[in-house]
Amino acid sequence: MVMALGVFGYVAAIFHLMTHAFFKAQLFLGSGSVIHGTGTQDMREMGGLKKKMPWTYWTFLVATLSLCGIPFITAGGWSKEEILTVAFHTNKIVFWAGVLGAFTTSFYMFRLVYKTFHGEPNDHEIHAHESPKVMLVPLVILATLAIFAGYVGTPFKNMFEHSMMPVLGHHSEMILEKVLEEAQVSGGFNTPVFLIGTCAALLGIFLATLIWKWHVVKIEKLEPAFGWLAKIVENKYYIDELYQATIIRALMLIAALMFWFDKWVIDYVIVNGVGYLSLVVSVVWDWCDRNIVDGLVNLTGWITGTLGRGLRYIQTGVAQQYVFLLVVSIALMSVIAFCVAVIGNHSEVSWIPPITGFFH
Amino acid sequence: MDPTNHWILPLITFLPLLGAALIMFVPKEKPSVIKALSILVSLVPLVISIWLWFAYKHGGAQFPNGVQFGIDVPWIPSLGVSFAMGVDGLSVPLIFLTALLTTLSLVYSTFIEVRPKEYFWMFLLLETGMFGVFTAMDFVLFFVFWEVSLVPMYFLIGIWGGPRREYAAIKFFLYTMVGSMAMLLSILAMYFHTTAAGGGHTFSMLAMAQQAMTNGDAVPLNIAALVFWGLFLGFAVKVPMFPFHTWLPDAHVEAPTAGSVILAGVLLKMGSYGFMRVLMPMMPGQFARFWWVIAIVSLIAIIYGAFVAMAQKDLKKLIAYSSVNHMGYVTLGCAVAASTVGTLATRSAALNGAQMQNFSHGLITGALFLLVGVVYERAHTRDLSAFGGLWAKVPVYAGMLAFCSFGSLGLPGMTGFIAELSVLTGTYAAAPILAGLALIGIVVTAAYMLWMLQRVLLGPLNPKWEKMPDADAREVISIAPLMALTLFFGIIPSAVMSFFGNASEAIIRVLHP
Repeated sequence: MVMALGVFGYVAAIFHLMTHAFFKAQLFLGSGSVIHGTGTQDMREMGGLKKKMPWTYWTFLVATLSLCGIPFITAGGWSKEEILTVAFHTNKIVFWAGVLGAFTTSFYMFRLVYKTFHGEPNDHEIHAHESPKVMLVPLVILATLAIFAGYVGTPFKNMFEHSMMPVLGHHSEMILEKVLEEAQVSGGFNTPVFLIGTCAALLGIFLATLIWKWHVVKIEKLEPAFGWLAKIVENKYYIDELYQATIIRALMLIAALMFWFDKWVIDYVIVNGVGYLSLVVSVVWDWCDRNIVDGLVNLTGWITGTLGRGLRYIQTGVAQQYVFLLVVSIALMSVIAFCVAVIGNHSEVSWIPPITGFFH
Repeated sequence: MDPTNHWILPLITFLPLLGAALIMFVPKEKPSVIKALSILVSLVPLVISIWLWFAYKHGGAQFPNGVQFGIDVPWIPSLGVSFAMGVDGLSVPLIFLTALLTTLSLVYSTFIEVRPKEYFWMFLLLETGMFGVFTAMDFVLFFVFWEVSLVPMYFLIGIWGGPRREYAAIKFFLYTMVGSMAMLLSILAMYFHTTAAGGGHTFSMLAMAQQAMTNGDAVPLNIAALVFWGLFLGFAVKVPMFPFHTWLPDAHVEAPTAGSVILAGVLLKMGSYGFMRVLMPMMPGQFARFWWVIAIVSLIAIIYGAFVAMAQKDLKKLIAYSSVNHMGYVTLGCAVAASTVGTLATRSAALNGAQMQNFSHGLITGALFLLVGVVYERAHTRDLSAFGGLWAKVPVYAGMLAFCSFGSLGLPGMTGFIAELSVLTGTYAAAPILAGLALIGIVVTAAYMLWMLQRVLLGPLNPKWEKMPDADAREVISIAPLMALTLFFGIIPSAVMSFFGNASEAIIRVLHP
């Protein structure tokens, strides 16, 4: 479908989208029916279901043929045909890729059909049974559409293209027509394309039949030649591993790194660091407070106390001593006042009374 | 339905306090009476908040010119402090969110057996604080309630918390205090540069915002940047913005379940509410000048928060870090709304988205924390590697957890998607590179949420949880309303966005006169 878009086959793309919806939906529901009937999803355990689940088998086969693009009788045949025709005219590489795709599709789908529905049951533990009607009716409807839905878009009378015009507009179709004009070919039925496409599908079916139906070619013998391919494919081309190793691992690493940063740098170093720093500051402050600030306070107290203790020796309570000290003090002060008056002659100290007159 | 009713806001604010006072008279030997009474009391503000929701007149003038249900009586006239309250489109949804989450948290908490009297008392006090912040129109009043809401949460974490509760409680308190003090200083600076109509300075938030409308900022240019960053610090710690967020994982993890719900659901919103109520209208010049700094820091929060959440092994810590991631959109929306690029429409979209994310995160993360509590009570561990395969064992619980996780990762149809879409629309218009980088955060969010679901619900069942009972009625009753509203407002966002539109435009007109 996407391939068709790439080669300007817009109508073909939408057409294939529609037919694909029918047969692929049938295939999924059919697989569901098989899983329901057998209780397993492992193809290796199935086999011989054709007899036990005839409705499922026949509708599944129809859808498979449609997917393989068997011409004229299936819807997928018409839409695949249309895409391949467009690709044939626009891009040969895309065309051959499409043919290769048609071949492999037919091959693996018939491998599936043979392994599941033909041969003998591989696991006798499984007692397969046909699914109830509620599951079978949709299968029949979808299988019917997988055949007949294609007739609206045959290259001989393309009603589908006509009905798409109002939606896509003529512009998109003009691109294709221009491309086709340049290539000097016309759209519509193209015999070589038809033959190549059909042969690719039939070849795929034929090879699958050789291996899994007629057992002419033993799968074990192919092992050495194609073993490496099987291994790569079995591991889905290692794309999941590639994602795991690159994107997912990188994302988890980023997440772990960021969490480490959050936990240790932001929270531990910065936030707790600020907290710890405040604690250190508070300890230093506490030391300063106890030793310097409070030390000054205590020093004042100590000085007062010491002075008090020293002066205590003077405070004896003996009156004679007090009178003696009084007299000595007065004498001392008189001497000082006298000296000041004599030396300075003019006393500028206001608290000393003018004593000059005292001597005159 | 009278939008000029003066008494409705003081009533809703102080009713829980009255209830708390009532609880003091119930003897502590009757815990069931205490629990029933608290839930009954909390129902009254819930009913009033719903009434407020419908009575609020849309399309009217917004802050600062028009607030509804306003009341303004002098409180400390000598300082220019008044008891002023009022609501606009910014606050009505948050008041409803507060009332709802409180009631649901109380319902959820009925299993509490350790000192239930104090617990329920604290919770109602907390509700008063939260209502007060969302209704105050005077800065002193705002600050008082801002601090009041801090105290009960400190005790809720410190008494009913986990093993490291003392550390978490003091870290929460001190960290917020640092922010509060910077904010207080900035408030004082604004106070001294705002003159009331009758002369003298005023703490009126309306007057400050009005002044900013005419002057470009509420303070002169020479100190404007300092005042701006002071206010910013106060709110950024609360949001919390990178790199001020590390109190959050500790507080959330150690808090009791209902405490985490209120913490994530309402207390963080006080920070982003501050952005829209204070920082943007009062410092529009500086906000427009520094919008890119806030945008980049928000972007870091989005991407960094998502990655750190992905690295978590503890379920509750994962949800806690998802808050850092989600609140990043709120601040990003605010920053972009102030950008000089884009149009009025894109800036409005960003700010609407920021408010929507605020509201949505309250609903969804509230529910997620309740859900973490549910499983913790059963398993007594939150270690993600200890779970697995619970879906088959506890389908109701698993369904709720899956629903809320999808809401959190922004699934279309739920509120988170509308919020992120709006924010990203505005961001793209301002700077496409920011929107592109924010998408990394969205993808990683989806990754860690789905991975969490996978580790808890899918895979093989740990035989230890063979007998784990499913969510009971109490738990469903407390979580289901949040889920219903997440879906309802996700499908009909206009039911709540109608509040945001006018408020956003009013703020943006101040930012870009």
